[in-house]
Amino acid sequence: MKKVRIDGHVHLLPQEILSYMKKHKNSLMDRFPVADTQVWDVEQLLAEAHEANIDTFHLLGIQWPDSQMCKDHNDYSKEIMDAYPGLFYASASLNPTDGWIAVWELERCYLMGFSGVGELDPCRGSYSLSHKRFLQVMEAAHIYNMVPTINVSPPFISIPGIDDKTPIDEFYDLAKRFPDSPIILTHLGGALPYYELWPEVKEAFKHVYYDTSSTLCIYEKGAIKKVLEIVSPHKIVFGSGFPLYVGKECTTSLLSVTTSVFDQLSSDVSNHIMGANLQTLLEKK
Amino acid sequence: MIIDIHTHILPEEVSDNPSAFAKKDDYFAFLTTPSPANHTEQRYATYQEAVTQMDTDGLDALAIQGWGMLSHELCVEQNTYTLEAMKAYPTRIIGFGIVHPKGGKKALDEVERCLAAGMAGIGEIDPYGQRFSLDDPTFLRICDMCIEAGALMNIHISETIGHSYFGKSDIPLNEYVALIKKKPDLQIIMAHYGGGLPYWELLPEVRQLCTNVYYDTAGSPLICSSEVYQATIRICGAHKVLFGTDYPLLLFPQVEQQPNFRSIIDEITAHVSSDEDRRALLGESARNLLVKNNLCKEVTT
Repeated sequence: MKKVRIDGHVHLLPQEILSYMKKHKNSLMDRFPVADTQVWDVEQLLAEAHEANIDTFHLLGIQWPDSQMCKDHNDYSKEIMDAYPGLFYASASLNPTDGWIAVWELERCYLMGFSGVGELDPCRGSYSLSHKRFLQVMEAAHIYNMVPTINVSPPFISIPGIDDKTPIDEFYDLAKRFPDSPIILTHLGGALPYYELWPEVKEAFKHVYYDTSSTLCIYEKGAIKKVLEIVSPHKIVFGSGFPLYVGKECTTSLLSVTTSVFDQLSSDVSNHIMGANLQTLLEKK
Repeated sequence: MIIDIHTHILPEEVSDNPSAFAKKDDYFAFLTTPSPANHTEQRYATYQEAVTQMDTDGLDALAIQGWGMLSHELCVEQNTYTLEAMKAYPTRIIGFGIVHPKGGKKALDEVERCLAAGMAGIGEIDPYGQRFSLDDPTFLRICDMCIEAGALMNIHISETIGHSYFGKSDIPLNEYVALIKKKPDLQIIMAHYGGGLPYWELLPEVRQLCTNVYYDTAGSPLICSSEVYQATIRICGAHKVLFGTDYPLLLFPQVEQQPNFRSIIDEITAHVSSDEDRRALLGESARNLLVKNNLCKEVTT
């Protein structure tokens, strides 16, 4: 496996969806309050990535309320993968509440070469992690070795764009239900890494990974370093959240996000966190 | 200086015959009656026995936390015993009073009696076991009385995930956070690592909110890995983490049959690398909290 630096949490949107979002501002812009001020363009990403010394990307989908939007988004991700061979991994946009349509779309994405599913968003989809339709998607992801990425964020504060009120014990139950499936939890997993200090949680979370997206905007400085004292560096994957650097007093470029994360890492773990961990997960497929 | 901020020393009526006492209090019975499902190894000690063990293990002082009984009368009996212990060992024993909010006016009077008699606060009050809501008006009045008196409150809480065990609270962490928001001046010691709340202090908003929140380590070896001490200190600072054991609960039941303080002190010593942090955790942070509030001068001077 060649050494890579992967941004594990990137969102790019096709023009049709951006136009649709602007047109339906009231219903969709609350999900992405900064959407109209951010650039969602692949050229912009590549320019910023060059500066930040990032060479590979994990395109995450969005759990759109409409299955056609999920499909359009996935087609766009496929276009990008084809246009830049070897530069992009992709996860499928799905809405588990669509039932069989979501599972069918997952299969289509698998055939198109996608490596994962998500970013799934139980809170905005108003489903619990024990909802049958969600579990069907998880089962299918497990069968196809597609890694699910699930949005998690701190429940006590309101962060536009990534709010999540899913009870954290549901993540424990989910991990126990899929003990052999890797699951990536975003935004440093809310508080979940701390609970790995409880042995039974550590055991259940053997294959749970945490991405660093939006970390710098949500948590205090140095948070990643502190989390690394609790969980193995093999469980942390770098992700910027491009272009949604949400939160207060947030950094505004991929370079500054990358640098802030990288500066918290010792040399012996940085390769794992900045790329190798995610590469191993996504290439299992 | 080593201070154990979380022990339960119960009246001799209880320690002499726990199963007889269990008939008086259903939750006590639920927690302490051995059963195939209940693996807790409860032990009992009088305050005289506790002081002997303190001398053996090098403990300077301990706090007796009340056991969350269901009736007002049993709370009062416990408090009377704790006051007796404080009087017998004024430089070694710190008292916390226990009440049940459903006692209403009688509970408020009892809080007044406990604090006037020199107790450091109210605790270990238990919304799960005692079955009251954190927005119960009497409970909130008790919080205010603690604030007005500069007293502390120790409150039971458990981690919201992981396996089940007897005594594990299922009150959501959000409800405790709501209490902290409602009573920001209340100095709360949240038992058992605050059910995971320390981690949330990595969020600047939560850190700000939890300025007056402290966490104790009670029961740690039974529930957490030994890395928890260092990790919690790194996250929220040693000044917020207070040594507590849950004595005379057996913390290492696989290898010990008699309760003591030394085994967990040794575990902490082995896992907290900085001398300064270790001193803070084992006693200085608790002492500073008492001194700051002018509580238990005989113990702290």
